[in-house]
Amino acid sequence: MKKMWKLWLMSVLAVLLLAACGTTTTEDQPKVDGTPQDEVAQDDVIEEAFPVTLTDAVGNEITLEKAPATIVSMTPSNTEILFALGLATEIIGVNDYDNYPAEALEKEKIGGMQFDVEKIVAMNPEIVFAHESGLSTGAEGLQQLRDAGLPVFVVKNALDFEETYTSIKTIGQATGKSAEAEKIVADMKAKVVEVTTKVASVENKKTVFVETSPAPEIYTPGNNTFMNQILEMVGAENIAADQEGWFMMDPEEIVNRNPEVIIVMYSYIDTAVEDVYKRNGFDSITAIKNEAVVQVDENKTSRTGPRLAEGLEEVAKAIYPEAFGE
Amino acid sequence: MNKSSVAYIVSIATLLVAIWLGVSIGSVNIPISTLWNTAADATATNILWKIRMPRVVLAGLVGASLAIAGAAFQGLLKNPLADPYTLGVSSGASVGAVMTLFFGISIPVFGMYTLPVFSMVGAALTMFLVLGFARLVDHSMKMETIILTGIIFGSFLGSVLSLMIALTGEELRQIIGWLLGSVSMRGWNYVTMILPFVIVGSIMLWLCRRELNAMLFGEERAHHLGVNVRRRKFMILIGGSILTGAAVAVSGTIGFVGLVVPHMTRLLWGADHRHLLTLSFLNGASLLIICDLIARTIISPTELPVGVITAFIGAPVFAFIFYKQRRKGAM
Repeated sequence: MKKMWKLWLMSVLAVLLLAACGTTTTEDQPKVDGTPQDEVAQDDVIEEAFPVTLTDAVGNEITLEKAPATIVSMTPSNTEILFALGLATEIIGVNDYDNYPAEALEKEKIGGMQFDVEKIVAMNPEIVFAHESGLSTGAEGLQQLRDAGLPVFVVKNALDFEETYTSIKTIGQATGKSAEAEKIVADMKAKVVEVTTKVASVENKKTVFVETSPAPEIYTPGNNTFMNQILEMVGAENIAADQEGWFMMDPEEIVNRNPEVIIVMYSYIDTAVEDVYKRNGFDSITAIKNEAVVQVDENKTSRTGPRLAEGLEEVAKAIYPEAFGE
Repeated sequence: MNKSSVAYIVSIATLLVAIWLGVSIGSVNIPISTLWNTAADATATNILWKIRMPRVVLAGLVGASLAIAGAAFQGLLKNPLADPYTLGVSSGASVGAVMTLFFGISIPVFGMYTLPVFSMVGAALTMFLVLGFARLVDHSMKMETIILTGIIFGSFLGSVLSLMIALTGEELRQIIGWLLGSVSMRGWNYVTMILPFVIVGSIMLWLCRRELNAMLFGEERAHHLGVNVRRRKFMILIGGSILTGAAVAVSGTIGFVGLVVPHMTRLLWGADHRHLLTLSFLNGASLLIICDLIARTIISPTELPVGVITAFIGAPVFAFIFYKQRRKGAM
């Protein structure tokens, strides 16, 4: 493993050395992994967009002379975006929690919330994609990366679909993949329209309770959370929307507010859904009586990346299966 | 009427009031009459019988166990700062419980009692290790030696827990919340899980009430008074471990109850262990029921971990006792 890593580092260095010698055009070729000619042509068009100067979420201006050939991604959402943009080869380091797409699991890990600054510096990527949501624990580490001369681009923490689209486009711009980014956004928008049209036909709005951790500490998203927005988009009423942000809800109150659907947003317990059905005192809740406790993919519904529209669809299906002919 | 009868009456009355408040107040207001009103609506009955009542009862049992264990430890070690938490015994019980969950241990003989049994074994082992080590360091077992040893073992065991959680990643994430201490959503089966141990442990300690008084004058004096010191000590330590282990198994680590309650009881009604143990038991139950009530109502519908409330009250009391103790020593 260690040897592999050294080999990797050597090859990266070799590539960089070559790049420095001005042979950029030749070493750019193998990155276009088997995709047909027109993609290469597109790349060439975008190439003209460089050098590009972008301002990140913390107000730093990052100037890129050319499309980065080596990328470190520090959050699952960034990683999903980068892979979707077709940068599988360029990505050299990812977060411990990155599990999508499957290829991400094979990439070198740079740590989780506590990332390994030394390792990233040693990788010497041409760009590091950090995330605004990680600043509370990682701001100092990012500064160390900047001090080491690495360009760090902090992606804004998207608070709604529009901002997610912007994040995808921005990352596309920084990596010379604007056309791909536009395509992803267009697909997502189409999906959103498809889902919202389907649920629009539903007459009775349902009340929903979403939980992100099991009893006894049942956490739920309130107002001003991404999940609440998703619920609004699919025309459901969040029973916890009278509170701001994430909070631990008193189970008595859940019983009292009597949701028609309960969405379980975690999968680290195998029996997550069964446990909700078996929960003491929950038997009078409509969702339990109607067997409307549904598990959704917590990654699709929480990562502000290309799969968010699918997440929206999953939530919509969970609440209004009838609208999807199920 | 003598002082001790007054003490019992006041404590029992307080407990009844605490139970009454605990059952009738909540984020959802339900009249207590729902308990016997068969015509009440299903949601209210459900909340009251299946969520709130078991919670109040469990809080009472856990509070009582920790308080009586604390009173006995303080008496036995002649150490006002001793309680299951400061001695590291709670951490030991947690390690026992987490190990059970971690390795998925389930011993058919024990059935549903596997978790509390392992928790108790963890508690007892830690207790003997802490005391053994303290004795090794300082034969006279001074107050600070015992507390420091408790802290050393407590932090070591804490790191063992963190390590286990880090190693398993997400599967044990539920345990992190559990470790903070809570009596929420446990249900009646947890009440039945803990009840036999509370009874056995409390009786063991209560049987030693006279000996605890005698030991206040030193083990040698107690020996001359006809006390089988070794056997009694062992009995108290085991009884305390059973109670701590049972409490931790159902509610995680809730600190300071075992410290605060015996002290307040002693301040109010005196240090005679014949009464102190029972009174601590009653007051411990009242205190944790009230703390839990505050935890779930103060920022309703958001719930706080009950450990936050007990520590909020307990830490200043701890500081106050320490201050008073030291001033007394200086004079």
